Amino acid sequence: MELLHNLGLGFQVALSVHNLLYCFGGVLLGTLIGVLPGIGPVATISMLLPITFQLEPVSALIMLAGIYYGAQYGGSTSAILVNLPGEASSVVTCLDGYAMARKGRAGHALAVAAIGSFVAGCVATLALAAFAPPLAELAFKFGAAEYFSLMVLGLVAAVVLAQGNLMKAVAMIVFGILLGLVGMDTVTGDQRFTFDRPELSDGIGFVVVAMGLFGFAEIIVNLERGGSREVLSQKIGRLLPDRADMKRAWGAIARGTGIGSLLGVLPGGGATLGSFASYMLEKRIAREPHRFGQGAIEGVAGPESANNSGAQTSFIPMLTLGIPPNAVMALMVGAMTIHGIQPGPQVMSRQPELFWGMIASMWIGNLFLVVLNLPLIGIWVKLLSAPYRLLYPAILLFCAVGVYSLQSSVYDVLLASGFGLLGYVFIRLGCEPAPFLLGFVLGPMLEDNFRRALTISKGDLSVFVTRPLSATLLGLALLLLLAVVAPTVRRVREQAFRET
Amino acid sequence: MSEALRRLAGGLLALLIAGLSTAAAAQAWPARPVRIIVPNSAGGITDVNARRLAEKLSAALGQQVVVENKPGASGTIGASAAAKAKPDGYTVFFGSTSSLALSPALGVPTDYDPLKSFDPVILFGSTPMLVIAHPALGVSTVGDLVTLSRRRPGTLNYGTGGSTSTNHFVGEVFRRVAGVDMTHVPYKSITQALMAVVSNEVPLGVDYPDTSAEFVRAGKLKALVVTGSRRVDLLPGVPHALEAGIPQLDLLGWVGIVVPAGTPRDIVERLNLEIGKALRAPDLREAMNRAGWEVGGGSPGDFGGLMRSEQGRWAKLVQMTGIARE
Amino acid sequence: MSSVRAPADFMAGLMFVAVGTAALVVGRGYRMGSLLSMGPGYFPRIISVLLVGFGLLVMINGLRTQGATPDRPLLRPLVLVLAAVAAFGLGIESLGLVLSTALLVALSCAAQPGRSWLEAGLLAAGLSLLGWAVFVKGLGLTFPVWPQAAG
Repeated sequence: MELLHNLGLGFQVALSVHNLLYCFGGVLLGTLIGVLPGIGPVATISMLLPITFQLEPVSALIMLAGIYYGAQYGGSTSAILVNLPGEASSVVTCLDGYAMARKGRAGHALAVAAIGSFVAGCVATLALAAFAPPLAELAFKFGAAEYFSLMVLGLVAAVVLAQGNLMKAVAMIVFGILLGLVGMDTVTGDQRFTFDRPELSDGIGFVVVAMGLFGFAEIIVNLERGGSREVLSQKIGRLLPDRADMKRAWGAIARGTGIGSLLGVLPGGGATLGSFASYMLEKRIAREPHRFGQGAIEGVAGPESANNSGAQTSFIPMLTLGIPPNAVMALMVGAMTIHGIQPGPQVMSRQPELFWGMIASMWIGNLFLVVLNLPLIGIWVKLLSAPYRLLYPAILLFCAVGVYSLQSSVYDVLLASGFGLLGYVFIRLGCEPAPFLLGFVLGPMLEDNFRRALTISKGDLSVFVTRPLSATLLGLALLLLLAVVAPTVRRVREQAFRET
Repeated sequence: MSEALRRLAGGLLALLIAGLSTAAAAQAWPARPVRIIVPNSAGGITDVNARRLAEKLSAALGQQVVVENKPGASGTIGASAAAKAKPDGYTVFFGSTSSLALSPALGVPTDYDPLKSFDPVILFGSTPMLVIAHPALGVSTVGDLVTLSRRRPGTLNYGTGGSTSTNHFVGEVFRRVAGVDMTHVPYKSITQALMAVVSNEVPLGVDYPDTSAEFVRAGKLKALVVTGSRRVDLLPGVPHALEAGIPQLDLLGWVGIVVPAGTPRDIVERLNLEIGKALRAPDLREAMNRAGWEVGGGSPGDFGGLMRSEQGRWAKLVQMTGIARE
Repeated sequence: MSSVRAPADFMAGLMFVAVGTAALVVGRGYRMGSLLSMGPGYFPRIISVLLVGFGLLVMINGLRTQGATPDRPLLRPLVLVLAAVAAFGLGIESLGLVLSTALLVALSCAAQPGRSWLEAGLLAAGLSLLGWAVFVKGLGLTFPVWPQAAG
């Protein structure tokens, strides 16, 4: 009952005409910048921050939140259309989303991403409303040992992402981890693999790597093939997925929403894992796992739902505790302080209209997004039918500006160009970039949390198995590893028997 | 006209032209947008402060003032870019303890010298740091903590936002001077460290008042001591370093504004004047106070003096604590 | 190398071994510490050794099982696309958005043989305008539009 009352209060706030306008403005802007590679919500929000000084705090936060989850939405568009993941969570969307686009099914992919995101956003917002405090407790249960075990699970899952040669995929993960080690060692402050370049001392940015590996390399390969993405210029049929597609997608959307909501709560990299975990799950339980990577609709529906529900629940640590789990949230905390709201554990009780108003606005914002995006699909798909010889210089320009704008850094642009070369080599040698990127993201956290857990336990290795949550995660990782390895082992043994 | 007279006239004319043109240049400044280089990522308190200042300066100077984020390498990348910029008054650097004092003291390779590459403009503000404890530890004062650590040596950990951060130094000074046996646990960011103390993964930590004050008020954290020689309005009940009997803990984090060395004197004066005015504006002052910050001010010379004394202080701290980067 | 049955795999393995070895060499000075109290060198060394190990396995696999041969790379698109991005990066702070965009478009169009220069010129003009509208006007990014006086 209290929940209904609170939601009533929230909708009262969110449905006021000017808050509706700010919400709409936020999600619209978010969608647009999400589509632009590299230009993320952080840059946009900080640009807009001075404008929000004059707004009511609730309106300001409603708009900023809209930009954030709107950008998550828009990010899937560039991943599907041009194979450009704007952030770690859209890497897996590239795998099957871009494959679908190449088969002339870009419209289906975009539509299922939009529908999945909408469902996920609604459910996650409800979860946020009903269970924010207990979910925040979950975040508290995660210490260094748990994060380490979660990263182990994530890396084992990365093997599942692999489509071809298992050994090669594992090597790519390891390569990714190695690249992730570039920069300052968190524990001692020592520089590793930085070659005395100050630009490398904070590590290499994800967008820099992803842009090169996915975006640039793809363009080079397309040009080698004579510059036509033959399939894309084929006549595009229906934009919206048919019933058979949706039947496959629903389960994936539901599972993705659940996984994303749970992992989104964890401040240290949980949100990234959500979409990977969902993809892995879909591939595991699919009847024909070989369809994955070739344009399986579940491979888009699940991760996109996970991504968006994670974006909603990642507000939980900030709204209940005032602890920002990522840079965007840090900006929002900054915006709160500007307005004289001290973010902290008491925001919920002291500023109920702010808390519930924001939650209600998220639901409305998700509705706006789906209404906004479904018609946009037609435009995006039309854009793809533009001649490739005009399209690819434009993509290169937007990528280059995007990379530069991250840190106003020329070095980053040059580095991205270098990763384009590496990405090209990967494609030629048949090495998959997705496990590489997952290793790159998770590797440093793996090391960090392992060392931190041991510092805290004074060198007692048993912490990883005596803490129940950590032990559970490690157990899951072990099971998953067996499930992956067993078929291979069996195959090898059968082969051996046949040969003898 | 005699030769001498002609020369004199020529000289006078040249002087006049020179005088007029510098006057014109000074009047013309700012003829185009002025950029403030902020060596931090967008978001976060420093960036927000810089953007607030930029907004006020734009109004006061009648010219756009834009913030350019050049984060990385503890602020030294932004500082190095600012040091290389033309000293024409169109580049302003939003420096801090880390970029202008601590990093050089740690021997981080930089291609600038905080004192020689920049001319000081004004101190923007300063914030103390805070030693915090989880309530389950059962300590409310520094004295309690010292007693506890004697009873249970080798069991205490404290979290900070990273190795060689200012918070790490506060922690190490505190450990040595107060005689508390505790192990440093560095986190990736200050918020992660705060989260770790709130969830009691580590029982102690060093943080800033703006992020932890609400937790202290809600009873989820205890604050043992604020650094520096005055209490903060946010947490009036917490003793400062002198009261707690640790005078060595008079370390503050500060932010100050500098321009590339050789920037015309009148532009520096004008910047000092306008930023000083902005700092006296009630809304900026209140907003900073609410975050536990003390607004700065004073003359360029005052800030230059502070920068010089801070160089020496951090160099000594590096020696005393033995904190270093390899 | 007639004994190599899967040249793509073999070369991939070679790449992993080379990168792992290079990392071991570069990181040779990093302090090791022990498992329970790792120094900055412990984890990188494990990872490098693993990379060399898996690289060897991939190489051996490339010798034993049948697999793909990588296509011969075409140098023109490879070099020119990467150069286009790099040129844009090097130009943006001094030449400004318009000229850097022109450079990027010129180089990237040259990546395809037989392009019309008129079309490339129009594309450069159009993209400059679009970039200016979106990034400078729309998002308020702070890079110069026109060349900056040398300094």
